[in-house]
Amino acid sequence: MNSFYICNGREVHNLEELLEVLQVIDDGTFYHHVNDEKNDFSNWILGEVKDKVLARQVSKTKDKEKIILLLDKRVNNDAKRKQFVIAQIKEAIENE
Amino acid sequence: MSDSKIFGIIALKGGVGKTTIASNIGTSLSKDFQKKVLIIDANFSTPHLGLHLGIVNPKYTLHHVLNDNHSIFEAIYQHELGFHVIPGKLSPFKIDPTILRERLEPLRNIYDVIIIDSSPSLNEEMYATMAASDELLVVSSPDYPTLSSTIHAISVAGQKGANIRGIVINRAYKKKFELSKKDIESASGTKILAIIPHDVKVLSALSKMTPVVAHSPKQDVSVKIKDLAGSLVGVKKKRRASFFGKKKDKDQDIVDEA
Repeated sequence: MNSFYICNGREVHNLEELLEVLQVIDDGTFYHHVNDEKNDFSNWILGEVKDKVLARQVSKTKDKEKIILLLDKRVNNDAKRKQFVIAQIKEAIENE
Repeated sequence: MSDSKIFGIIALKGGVGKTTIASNIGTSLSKDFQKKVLIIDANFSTPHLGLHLGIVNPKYTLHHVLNDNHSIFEAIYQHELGFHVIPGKLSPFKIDPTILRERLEPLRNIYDVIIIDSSPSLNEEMYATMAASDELLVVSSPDYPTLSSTIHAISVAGQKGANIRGIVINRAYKKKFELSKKDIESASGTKILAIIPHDVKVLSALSKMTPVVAHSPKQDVSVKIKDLAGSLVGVKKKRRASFFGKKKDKDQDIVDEA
């Protein structure tokens, strides 16, 4: 998977890092990537992360906060679900 | 040869690639690191190491040795890639696995590294590998069923007093739905030594009964296995820099420097 390069020089390798970056970048940097002409984040999510659903959701907005919410939901829901299943597996093994 | 080391390759689940990892690490240690290597098939019920290495119907096997009929030296075969192999019997008969450790003792003076491909069943067969090994490598893959087996295997090995070197993640697709390195390390409390990518070349090599590190040595899967093999004997293999420069690899092949 190719990285995403933010115009401030930061390299993003995955959705978790994109979420971190969006939470701190200034509006100028954000609107360089998301404007009437293009939505670089949506394109990268579609082309590299291969998440069609998230890419479509991100493509429909130019609001930074909305994109952060979409990414947060996607990243943290997955992580919480994984941790929940892993905890159940460990409990089952430890209770043998 | 005082620094001889026995590595047991275990997994509490069939099909994760134990034999592939065992045969390829052994091949690489012999071919790339010039070590005297012996690979042993201690998967007594379903011994398939020979089929990975082109030894289909050997006259004597580990089964004959553990049945007390033959000397262990009668069951050692020289492979064309330079290492030695003790295969199992494809139509196995009953043996006593508990004497494996004792039978291997004289071989410590001959080989730098002995690799034991274990049974995936949690019974005396696997305990025999645990008892005979200096260190265990637990082969896993990044999904819930295999993680569950991995946690279980590590727990049992701990109870048996075995020394676990770490986990080898095999057949990683690098997909977002897979468990991450962090998920697996945190759930198992054990370090991941290497992440070996899924590659159809492994199956292609198997069809020729040749380890992929010899069949396709430049393939990413082979490079990762060679790095793992090197780390087991404390050697980091130098790589030629790419013409296009260094590419960042987020998964990081080797995390353990011996």
